[in-house]
Amino acid sequence: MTKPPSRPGYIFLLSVLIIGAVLATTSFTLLLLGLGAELSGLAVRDSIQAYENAQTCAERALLLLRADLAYDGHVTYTLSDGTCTLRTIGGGGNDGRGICAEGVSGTSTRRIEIVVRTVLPKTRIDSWAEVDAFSTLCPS
Amino acid sequence: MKLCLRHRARGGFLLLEALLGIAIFGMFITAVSFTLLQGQESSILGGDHVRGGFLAEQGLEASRAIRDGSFAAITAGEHGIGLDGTGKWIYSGNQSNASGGYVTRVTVTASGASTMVISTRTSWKRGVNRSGSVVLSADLTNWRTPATVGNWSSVTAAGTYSSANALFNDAIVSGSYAFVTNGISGGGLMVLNVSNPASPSLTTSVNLNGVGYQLALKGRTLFVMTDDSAAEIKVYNVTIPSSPQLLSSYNLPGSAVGTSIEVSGDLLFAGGVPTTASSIRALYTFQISSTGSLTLRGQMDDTGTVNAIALSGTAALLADSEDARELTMAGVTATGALSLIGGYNLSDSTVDGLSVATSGTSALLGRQKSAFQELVVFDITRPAIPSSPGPWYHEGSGSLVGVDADGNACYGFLAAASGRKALQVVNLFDKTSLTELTTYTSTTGLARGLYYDHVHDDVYLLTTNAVVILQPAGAGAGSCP
Repeated sequence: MTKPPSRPGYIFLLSVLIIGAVLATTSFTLLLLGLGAELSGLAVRDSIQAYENAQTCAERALLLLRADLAYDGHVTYTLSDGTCTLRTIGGGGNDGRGICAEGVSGTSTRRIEIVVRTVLPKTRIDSWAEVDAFSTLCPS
Repeated sequence: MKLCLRHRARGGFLLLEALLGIAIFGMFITAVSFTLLQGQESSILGGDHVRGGFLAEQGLEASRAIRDGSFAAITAGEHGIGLDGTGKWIYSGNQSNASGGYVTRVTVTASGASTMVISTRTSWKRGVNRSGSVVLSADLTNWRTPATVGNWSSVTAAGTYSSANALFNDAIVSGSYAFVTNGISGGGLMVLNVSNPASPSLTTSVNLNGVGYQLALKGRTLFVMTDDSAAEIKVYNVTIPSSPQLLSSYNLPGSAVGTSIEVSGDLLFAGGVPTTASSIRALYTFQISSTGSLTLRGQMDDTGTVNAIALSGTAALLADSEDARELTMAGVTATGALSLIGGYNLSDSTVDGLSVATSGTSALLGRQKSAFQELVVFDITRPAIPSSPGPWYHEGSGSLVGVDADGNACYGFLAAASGRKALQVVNLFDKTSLTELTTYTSTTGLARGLYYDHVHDDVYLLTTNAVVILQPAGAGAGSCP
């Protein structure tokens, strides 16, 4: 009776291939996670800039409203990094005005709503808040 | 012999195959190491960008906090940020360092007298290949600095525009121009250049095909209520004030006669004389389109004439001729639908409400001349019908055809259909006394209307023969007396 020939070389090669495949999958996953982290960093930066763009629109609107109570907004500004849009200023006269500003940078959009109790002589703000979607404070 | 043949059959374990296996394994290890390092590098870069972004944002927020203290503290140049002894943000040096090797620089550039452009750069460097930066920017404006209200304990007539028997009715000021309605045949609307209040001059006159009554302004769109029975409301583009362009007109339903007008957001409010007995509409709302056309949105019955409109939140306050509610409150939705909330019955008399204005939590109602006090002041802190505390009363010198107040609700301005004391200034802060502070006697006829220009702190008194621009003349700045 003869023993079947042993083939240790093939087992070694097979083991190498299997282990290699596992390691390759793991490292590729980590590579993708790293790329995701890098993209997240850029997205955070865009989001912050979008918020600051909305703030810029709000600042400009308040200054223009103080110069002319008939100022009605409804304008889009192109900024150094992105844009900001003012909706029509809500209310009329010196009391009870509404400012809605939307800032965009990259793919990020952020919105701010401001309720102005009095414009002049001292601008009094009842609320200044970031919102997900605009309310009826300002007409479109 | 058979033993020798069995030894030659072991081909799978040659040295060549061992070397091949090692080589393949080595290649795998190299590729894995490379991708692992890349992944790690990307994660670290992402983290750097997040931290850099937050530090750059901190620079902007610090600048905003410094501006909130004083706009003058935002100086042009390159700054770092730090905290003073009280924990408030200040500009310090020309850069600031954070742990982890992050360096932040805030660059401030002036853009006009009232605007500063703030740009913050946070950068980092960790070896030859790992450096980066984040840049953020925003504008800061000087909206927080309070405007000065003069001392209205005395007044002076800064300038006058006269036109005999013009019957000036209402005015509204924007920039260097005043839009004024009148009863001149073939006229109706005047545009005055008031860049120098001491010498207002006529820029142009517009034929309204009737008398011009009240005005409202939204951006560069002017709304005028007229007595043109075919088109009571006329809408003009006044981008070029010297050349108003008619955009549209609106004929109020039926035999309606318009008297009052006001604008809020993209809604126009129009009030008038109630129409027929079966359809007693007296208040309307219109949607204003981007081209200035009007679309009717709401109508409300009112047995009295709506002589004037003032807005407070989601309510319209009406100076009404209805005896049971000289001050009428109408609710308005975002789409312009109207509903009668109710009103306040000044049971001491049946004289009409002629003028109305709001300032903060106060509403001023001017009434026809009678044996009773013509000015009534309400507290409108609560959104329902104003009641207690108040109302408070003050004697006018005639029918109060115009009322207004400054933004602090310190000074109440009253225009009376009288030559003597055509303008009264009262202490609105102390409602229990409403002390008369000063008066102006008109030499150009009876007062017919009043407009307080909040931006320039001027009062435009509309009289029979002139538009008089009045300014505070008391010493120093005004304060609530």
